[in-house]
Amino acid sequence: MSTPQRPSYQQRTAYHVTLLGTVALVCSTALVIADQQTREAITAAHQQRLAERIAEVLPIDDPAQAPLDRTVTIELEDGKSLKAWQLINDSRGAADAADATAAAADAAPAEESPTEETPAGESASATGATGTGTDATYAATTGTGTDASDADAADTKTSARVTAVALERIGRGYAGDIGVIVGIDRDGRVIAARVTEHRETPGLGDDIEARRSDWIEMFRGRSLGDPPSQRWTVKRDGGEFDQLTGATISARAVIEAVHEGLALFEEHREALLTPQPDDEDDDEEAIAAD
Amino acid sequence: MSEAIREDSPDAPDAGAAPKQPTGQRWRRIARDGLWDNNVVVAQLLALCPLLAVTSTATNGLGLGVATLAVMVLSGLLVSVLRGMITDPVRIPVFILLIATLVTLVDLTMEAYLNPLYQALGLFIPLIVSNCAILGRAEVFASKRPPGEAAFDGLMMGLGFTAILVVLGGVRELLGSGTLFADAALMLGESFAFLEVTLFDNYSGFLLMILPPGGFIALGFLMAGKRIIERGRS
Repeated sequence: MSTPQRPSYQQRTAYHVTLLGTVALVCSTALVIADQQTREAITAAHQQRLAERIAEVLPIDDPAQAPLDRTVTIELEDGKSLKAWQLINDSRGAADAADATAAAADAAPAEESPTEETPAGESASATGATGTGTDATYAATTGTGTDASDADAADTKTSARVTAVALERIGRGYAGDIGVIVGIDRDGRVIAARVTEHRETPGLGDDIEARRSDWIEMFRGRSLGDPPSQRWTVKRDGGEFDQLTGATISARAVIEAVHEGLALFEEHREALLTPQPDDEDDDEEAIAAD
Repeated sequence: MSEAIREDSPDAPDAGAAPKQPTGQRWRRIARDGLWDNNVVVAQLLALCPLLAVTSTATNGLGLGVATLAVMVLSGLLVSVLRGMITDPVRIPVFILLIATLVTLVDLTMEAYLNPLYQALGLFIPLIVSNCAILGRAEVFASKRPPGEAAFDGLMMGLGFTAILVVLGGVRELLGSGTLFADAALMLGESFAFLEVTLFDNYSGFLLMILPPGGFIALGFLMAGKRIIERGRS
């Protein structure tokens, strides 16, 4: 049986196969091109969102100064890892460390590699290999030089002091995970907390966002012992914190995430407050911290 | 056999207007079908999953509506252009491939250049692939009509869909949280700030309307409203 308008070659099996294959090939090509075209913008958008959040929880004004490349990764017992961003204040400005910081800061905007997704070591070596700029390469070499060749590692510690760290924790909300980023100062006090991503009910659960309500500001100045651990929950559960009307689960998840962040800070204080000269040393530090 | 029937009767009732009609009337017919008579949601009852999930605010509804509209126009156009080449046995996989590619392109473009909107709708964009209305239009309409009409049909169907999404989102947002187009500026850019309206200050909110059951209830009223208007006409 033949369909009226179709030429005969279109009725062969080979034609169907070729057609489907060609369409699949053309579609794949289009997607590959689109992926390459948008990758840079998507990474930049991600980095910018991350930088904005970090700038909100650490005492800096400009998201461009967010210490995106100053990361520590600590392996936790349950197989997950804790990622933290360090805010470093060079009090004495010893030549090597200061140079490294300045160079790293210069290299930061130029660096397009997705630092928060790839393991830190890889991204650092990628920067070195592609040679984003001479500054970056220089920073990498200076960084390793300071830490590895100098027997006196304490030199770096005293010259560059970590004034605060930002940790990201995931809470389990009403509709999926809630990413919470917490800025903690040296004394273990919360500077600020912000929600990075969530899928809570718009109009209710999204009051955990700073742009919707100031609920999340109540963490400011809190620490692990203030309030005591059993009071680190919403008032309904006998805790210290306000719940959100109609969104107790969302509020509970954020409070738990902040509390967990503080507990992890306390547990890994040493490692988190050790200045990282460069991304490259992250892996070694992580192992050392264990 | 069914293929033969399909080929022989391109003017079946579900294919919209008969091609023999004068041009102007045909195009008006397409517009009417998409916007009202054969509306994706309130007449065909398709695409309810993204509809109910997204329409908790009018802004979200508008965002998903526009994304779906873009995919509908482009898929209609593509399918129609390729209709001479696409043979029956492989037509469904070919349509799905084309639609999925378009959706992924929209997804990537939005993530790259409309990031705030993407943060709100990200979960639902991939769902456009499974929006049966798009495949339905490709099968029923675009694969039988010239590109111009197919694209216009996609536009009208998309507009009809967007309109329902915005109305439903608006009603639920109004009753649920007392605002209209909240955060429109945040998602669509500062030029859309004029859309934002807070109707009741200190409105305590009506939780049910924001949650999915509220979506079903509001949709029910919308459909009833359409029936009442149609009955009044006849």
